[in-house]
Amino acid sequence: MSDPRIPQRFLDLAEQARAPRGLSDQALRDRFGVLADVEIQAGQVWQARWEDVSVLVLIVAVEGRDVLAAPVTIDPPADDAHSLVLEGPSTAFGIDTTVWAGLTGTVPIRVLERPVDLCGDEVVQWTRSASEGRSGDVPAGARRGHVISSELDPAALVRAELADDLEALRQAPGLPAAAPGEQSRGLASLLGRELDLASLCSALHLAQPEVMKILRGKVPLTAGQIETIAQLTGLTAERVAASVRPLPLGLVVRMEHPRWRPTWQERARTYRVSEARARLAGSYGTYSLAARQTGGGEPDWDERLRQFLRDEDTGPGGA
Amino acid sequence: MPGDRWQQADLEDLLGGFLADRVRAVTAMLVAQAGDGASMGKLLRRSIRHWLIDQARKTSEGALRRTVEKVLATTDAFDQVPSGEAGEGRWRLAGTPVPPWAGGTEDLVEAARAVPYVRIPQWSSTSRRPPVADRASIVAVAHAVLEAAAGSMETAQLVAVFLARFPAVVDPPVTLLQDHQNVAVRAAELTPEEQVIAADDELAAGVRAAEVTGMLSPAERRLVPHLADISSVQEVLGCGRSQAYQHARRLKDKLAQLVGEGEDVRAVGLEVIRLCGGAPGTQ
Repeated sequence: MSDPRIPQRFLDLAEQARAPRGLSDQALRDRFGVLADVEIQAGQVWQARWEDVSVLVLIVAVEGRDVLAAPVTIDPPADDAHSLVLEGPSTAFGIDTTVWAGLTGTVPIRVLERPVDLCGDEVVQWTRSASEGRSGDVPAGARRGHVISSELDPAALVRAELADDLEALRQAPGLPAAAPGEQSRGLASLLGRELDLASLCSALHLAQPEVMKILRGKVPLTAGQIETIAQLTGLTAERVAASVRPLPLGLVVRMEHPRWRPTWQERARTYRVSEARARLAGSYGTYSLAARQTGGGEPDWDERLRQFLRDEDTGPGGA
Repeated sequence: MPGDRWQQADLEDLLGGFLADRVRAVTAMLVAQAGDGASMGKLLRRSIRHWLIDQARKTSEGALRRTVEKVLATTDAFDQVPSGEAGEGRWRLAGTPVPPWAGGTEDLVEAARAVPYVRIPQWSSTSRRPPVADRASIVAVAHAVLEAAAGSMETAQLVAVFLARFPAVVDPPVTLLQDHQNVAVRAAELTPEEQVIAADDELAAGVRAAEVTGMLSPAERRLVPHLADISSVQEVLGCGRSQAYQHARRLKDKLAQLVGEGEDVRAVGLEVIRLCGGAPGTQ
């Protein structure tokens, strides 16, 4: 039953506000399969989000932990001379959609949330060319954007808002990853004269030799240990984690994949921490678990994380 | 519309207009883009803000069209193509047998910008919308545009060129100073005879600056003293760096257009900065 305080004309208008069929759960499953199995590829349009900043991006290329992507907008209707306007019927949105090729840049994979549409190769190629200052033939079902003739043109504000949103997404905290040949500073050098060995042993419930290994950055830390050291020393959990031992790049790449975001978000809600903190704790927990297990070669990090989560469900612990 | 005159019916009309215009696009955008309540709220507020800006611009465009039409119809230098001829009803330079114009407006906008000493007339305290320029300037710009076009033009085409030449005329919001007489104008000492002329110039610049300041919204007036410092602009507006740059460039463009041209441009500009609470030497 509708709220009697809402005028009927608004209810009539709301009737028209049906979500595009191309964005229904079924349509998205048909197009991409289940999120856990999605491989990030050029041509996909993803919802990218961190906290309250949310942008659609067309992926032009995948580059390690980042994608090269152009922002995409549906509303407000705006474009510039370096953008491509896709006609509604050629998109899943059913509405004219602007690809801002001039704002193409790197976006971290960790902010990708879910794929929502697919664009053809010709749109990707046009976007890549335009972002490099070259012009190509406009693909069928699209048109080039208009020149913004003045800073007072509202499209100039839309473009500036997009640039700020992209910058905010780039600032989303990532996991500390080990670079080849890089030595971690070690907790001992980070603490300097503030180091209180006895307090650390007591707080961590560990013998001195074990704490010495931690101080020298020789062993990974569990999520609980990171939190304990952070509380004891006043350092942030991220600094403690990074100073002890950065995570292997292979692990970082897997943990930052969008397939795990629902898990991190769920744990963030459960433990009342930020998504970044939940991901950091889970990743170090996984790393710590893997370090205790034998076997050569690169571990199956996804499987290790599943095992870590299972163990947490059945035993004491937390994010 | 001033806040104290808002009524529930006004809000409902505004919401109804927004929904009728944008409900399909906004729904698609929110379904595709919003990840949670916080991002949905931010996206929706942004859509509504941009729609309101568009509405304000449309209203101002209508006023500009009426102004241009009125000037063209009452100036001997222009006439309309008679019925039966190609381009019937279009505007042209009087008595010139030219074909209908077609093409891009870039060259015409350039011709409009090349017209010197365009003046924006003194502000009317009973109007909320800034005038585009004085009558002589509108005539000169229309003449230059039609000459560059070498053809007859629809009113809408001419208005499009005027909009590109005078973008500030459709730039909302515009708020007046309530009382120009309260604006202090520095007095000069009347010693040698030459200084009488200097004092008169200063007074003219001061009055002009007060008019320009009156055409800025309160938010724009707060921003003027900070234009040279993007970090301060960010702080005042509470926005990101790109938006701060865009707002600063936009306000500089608007000031350049409102201050206009002439020998006293610098004096007027400095006085505007001072009236907005800034130290002119820092800009």
